[in-house]
Amino acid sequence: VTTFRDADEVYHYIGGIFEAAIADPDIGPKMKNSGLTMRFEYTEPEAVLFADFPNATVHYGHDVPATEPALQLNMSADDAHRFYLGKLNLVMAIARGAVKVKGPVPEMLKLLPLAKPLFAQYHRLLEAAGRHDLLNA
Amino acid sequence: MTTRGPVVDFDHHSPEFAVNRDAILADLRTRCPVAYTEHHDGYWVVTSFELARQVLGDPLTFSSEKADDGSGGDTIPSVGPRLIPAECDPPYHDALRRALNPMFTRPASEALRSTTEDIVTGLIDRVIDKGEFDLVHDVGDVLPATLTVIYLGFPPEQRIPFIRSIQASLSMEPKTDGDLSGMESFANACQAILALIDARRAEPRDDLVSYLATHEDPSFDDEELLWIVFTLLVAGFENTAALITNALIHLAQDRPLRDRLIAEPGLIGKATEEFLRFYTPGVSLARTVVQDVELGGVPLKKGDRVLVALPAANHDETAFPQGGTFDVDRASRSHVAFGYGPHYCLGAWLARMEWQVLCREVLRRIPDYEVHLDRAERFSDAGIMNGWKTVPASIPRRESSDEEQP
Repeated sequence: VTTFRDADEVYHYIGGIFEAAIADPDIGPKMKNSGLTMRFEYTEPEAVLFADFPNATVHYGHDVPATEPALQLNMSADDAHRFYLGKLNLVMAIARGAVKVKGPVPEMLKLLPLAKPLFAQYHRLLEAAGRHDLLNA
Repeated sequence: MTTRGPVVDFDHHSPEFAVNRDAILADLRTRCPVAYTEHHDGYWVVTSFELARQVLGDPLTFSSEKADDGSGGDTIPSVGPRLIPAECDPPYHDALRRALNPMFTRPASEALRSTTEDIVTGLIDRVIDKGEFDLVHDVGDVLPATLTVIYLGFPPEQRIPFIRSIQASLSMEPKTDGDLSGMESFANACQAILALIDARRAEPRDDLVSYLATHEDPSFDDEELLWIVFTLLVAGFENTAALITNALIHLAQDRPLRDRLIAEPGLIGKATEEFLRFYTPGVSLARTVVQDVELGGVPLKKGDRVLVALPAANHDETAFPQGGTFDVDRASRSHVAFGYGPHYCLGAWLARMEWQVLCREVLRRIPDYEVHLDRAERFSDAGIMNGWKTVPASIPRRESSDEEQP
């Protein structure tokens, strides 16, 4: 059984965390300054998401632009969920090959400190949605 | 901006520093051995021998720790994954070193001499065969990297993908490895390391990864082992490569020294220390101030970043009279080319042994090699390593060659 039922749930929760981060007065400007564009390809369920931090936009599914991102990440939606819960060691997941990343190392290293404050936001997002089933996954 | 000490326009990653390093550092050391620069979010640069030792010898005030968010550590700016034991503090650092030290003592390094001799014989055979060669690609990048991967337990051919991965992982600039992006190359290196760790846990052999994977008290988990091995690869490759390349360039240009070392091979050990002091392969070590302290009369505050410029310390006239001159006969005095204090280079004896085996064999078999500095190229960024990208070299053809004789 996968965490998310379908792509729409991935967009709602994982996409939701990006949108919340971009709108956040503390985190948003840092994401914009990172200059990063990222394409995420998820499996189980299949979903694709494009985060454009300089332009403060998130695109989903058919609306994902054909632009080459600075970083492309391929992972299961379950791993993405575990990452935002703070339960996935991303670097070890990359080292083990469970998460595949394409792009320069310095860009990836910029990302990790940006991602940490999102964990608490993700918790709040799931709680607000009453998804205690996902919080305890 | 700080008003706590002298402010200078200094950037160890600048192109000016790469071409004019020693003069820039000598100027700083004379005027202000602790100076503040605003580059890379601001840091203090330390250029005297005594102050360098004060910083490196006091890990409770000057921390090496790289934080979870990637800040801190041995470089300014912070780059790459957290290298351990380099980028951690006591007591964890000391526990790691207690486990690692027995494998890098002088006798442990000497036990690798015959493997080193085999590698050196092979690389000189190839160089003789080619006639035209490159001190970096055919010598400096071959010996230390091959010995390191063999000692760890990898097949020797793993050297080349590891070199590429490390270059992609630790560069401040986005780098690729052929068709692979930096992250893909980095992930491949990590997967190769983890595969060896798994294999050696299951079936230990006589190599370093087996020793570490089966070590008890402390025992190491996969993540620790991955970064220890990654660190040993980084440390085992570039510093010794830079020592070898600089020393071979020097010998090619200093005929009297070359003749003396041929006549008195016993002098090679002393010459090695002078090569290390004079060329100082590792250029900088960064620390983070964890408690307010005064350094050379300048008040440093908790959170400040400090960069110790090792070549500046090693050329300090107060410690080494006429420090800017290469002098194989200078009175022995320990330098800081391998650092100082608890983080003193784990592989110092190994690096010395590798260079000495190579030096002896180069002088015995290809003593007339020439380097072509007009076509050589240094690292464009020499902020971390005093290294070369390429140094074309050649062996003059002689009518009756004695190089095949034993």
